[in-house]
Amino acid sequence: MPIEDQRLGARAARPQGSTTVVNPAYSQPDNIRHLLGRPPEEVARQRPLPLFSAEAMGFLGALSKALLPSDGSRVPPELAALGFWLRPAALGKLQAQYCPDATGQLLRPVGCVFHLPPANVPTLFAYGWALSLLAGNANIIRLSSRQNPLTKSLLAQIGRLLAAPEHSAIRQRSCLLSYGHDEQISEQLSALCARRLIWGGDATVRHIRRIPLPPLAQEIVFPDRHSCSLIQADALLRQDYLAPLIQALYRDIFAFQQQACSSPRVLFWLGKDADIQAARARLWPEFDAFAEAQPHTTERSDAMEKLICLQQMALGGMVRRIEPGSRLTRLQVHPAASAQLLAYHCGHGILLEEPICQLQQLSDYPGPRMQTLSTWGCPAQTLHDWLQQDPMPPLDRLVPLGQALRFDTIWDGLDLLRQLTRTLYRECSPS
Amino acid sequence: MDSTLFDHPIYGLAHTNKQALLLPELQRLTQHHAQHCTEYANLLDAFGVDPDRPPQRLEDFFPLAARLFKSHRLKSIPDGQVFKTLSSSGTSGQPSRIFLDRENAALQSKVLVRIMQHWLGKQRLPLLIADHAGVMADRQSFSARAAGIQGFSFLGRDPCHALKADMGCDLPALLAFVERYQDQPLLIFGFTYMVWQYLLPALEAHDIQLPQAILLHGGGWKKLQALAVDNAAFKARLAGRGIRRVHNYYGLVEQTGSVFVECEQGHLHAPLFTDVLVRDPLRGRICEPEETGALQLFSLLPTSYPGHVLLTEDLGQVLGEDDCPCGRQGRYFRVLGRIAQAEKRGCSDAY
Repeated sequence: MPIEDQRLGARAARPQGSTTVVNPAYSQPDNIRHLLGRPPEEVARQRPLPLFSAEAMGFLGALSKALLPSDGSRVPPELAALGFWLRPAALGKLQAQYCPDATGQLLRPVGCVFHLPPANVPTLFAYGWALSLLAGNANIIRLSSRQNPLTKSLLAQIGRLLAAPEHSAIRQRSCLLSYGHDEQISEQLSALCARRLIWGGDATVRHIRRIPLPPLAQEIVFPDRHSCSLIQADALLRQDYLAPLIQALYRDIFAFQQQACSSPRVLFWLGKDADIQAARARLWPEFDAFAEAQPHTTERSDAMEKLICLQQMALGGMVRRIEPGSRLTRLQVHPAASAQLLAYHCGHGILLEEPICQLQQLSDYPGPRMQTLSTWGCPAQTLHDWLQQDPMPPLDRLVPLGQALRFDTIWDGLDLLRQLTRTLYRECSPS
Repeated sequence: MDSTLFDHPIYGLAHTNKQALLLPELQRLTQHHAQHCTEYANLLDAFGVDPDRPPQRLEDFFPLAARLFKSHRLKSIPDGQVFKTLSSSGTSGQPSRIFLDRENAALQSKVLVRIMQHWLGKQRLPLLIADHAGVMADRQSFSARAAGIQGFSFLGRDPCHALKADMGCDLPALLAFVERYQDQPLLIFGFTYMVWQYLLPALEAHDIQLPQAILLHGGGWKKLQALAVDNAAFKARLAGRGIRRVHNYYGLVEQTGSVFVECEQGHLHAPLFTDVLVRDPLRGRICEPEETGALQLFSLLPTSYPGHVLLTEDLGQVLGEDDCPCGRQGRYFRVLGRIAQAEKRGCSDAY
């Protein structure tokens, strides 16, 4: 049983006889705003469910169904991707992967998990939450107060499901709340958890890390990362029909306004200079036409950020040329310059283009390890050989172009489902 | 700068004549900064701008984002020639840093005096400051407020700080000032919010009338907007104290000296040495009159740093040119606050 925190208990005190889910004590401004589920200390007291419980599978399946309407009505691609990822068939595959009969290893829940997801990728909290539910844990999720329409729409769907009687087991183990930068609240919630999951970038990781955890608890952090794409130039020149490539590149770059840690911000062109120039000349006009035709809205403030960011990048003399596409601005940079320019990158459709003549150049690339490399046109065997011979590959994730934003249970080099469970070791005396 | 510029009236040149003066100076400044500021040259180069083939219209000059003075040290003079460094308020994030040599600092003062003499007359007037003396000394909160007071206080004489450090009224000082100068022209200077929140209550509590006062105020409307106070309400309350000559001003620390002052019609005017356009950051084009966009400010003053064409993060509208009912020539405009969600800046958050 978690230790009752008196201060938190006082905050969370529910009026006697009240049946409302929203606790008035949480609705004060500058304090906690309770969004969905039950109060945190009540959630933390719940007994975990089994791994891949029927309750969790049922709830997530229902959420998937809600996000993928059968009537063909249009759903934002970010929500559709979540719905697709949560399909019962997909979850079944995960179950088969983590609950094998034969190995004898027992994965068990850890208890209560405190999630601090980022504001820039509005659906990310749901992936972390889903995995933790499948692991049997109870969950407290702190959402940013900056909620965009996508988050609101997702929360509305989740709220409807949580209110249903058949999902009461999930409701009892879920608390979604929002509060400002209040260290005291973070401290109280941290005291309840066995795992703390920080998705929030360097500043958040630094800040939250100073807040103590119970001795038995572990912390899983996802600091700021950057991601890249790679296109092999001669393969593009051999291709008659560029539409699939363009759709894949567009999807990777423009999901979440290029704000996700797996959104590519650098494009490496692999090949000879002449091929690269010819490939660029073919790709970009067609890409621009496609991008312009996609539904999009740009805020004035985002356009302003982009403009300032372009100037900040160009000041240092590392940019050879800026090529303003209608939605994607390309910066052709000097060799190895992109690593230094990334610090100014604000997303919103900016791509640093850097030529390389062989994959090994990426192994020597300066700057921090990239999170995802999404590739097109480079033979699988070549990629495989490169990763095989590199003892310290410069990336955590290699996927085909178009898959950069697809969430995987292995993220930033960690197997998340294992991080959210404990592995029970047992050795029985032969008898 | 061509010294004959000073021979012209501050608000007396219509479009064609003014452009004929501004254009060669802006072209020369662009070349000068491209030659002496590597970062600026890099920037023009990356954006495909050739400084040796300068634009023939103001609309076509490359605007440097004012925010760059926060992230980079941009100057067109060697370190040894830095005479003075101006900083914007550092209340949120990095402050801007503007490096001046002697010549540029002198030019700023000279132009500021010329502009303000138009509004205040050549006599230096007794000065009542809607702030406390400590705001200058406290480096921690050295802000747009302090910078404004520092920049403008030499326009007046016998300065009196009306407030104490706790923002209460310094009654003995205020009463002594009023007794001495009440019946003659005097200048009141302060941040808009400070005037509203602290000076006006003090004047009202002691029923002080200042019918000959000229109020010069600036520093953003955000705090007053939060109190649902607009320019009309602001002026009406001042009129209750007999204060009818009220001038709002707008300017950037990145273009100190080039100040835009509000006329009797409530319009901000671009004086000689300056101009203003509005840019649509979404489409990268110059806006039509009365269309809202980001203010782009031109000034002939920045010689020691590349600040002659700046894109601000302030929203505004150009209202017209040469046809303001007040009779002044040149473009006139209004400021509508910061672009939402853009990086916060100090001005209106200084207190």
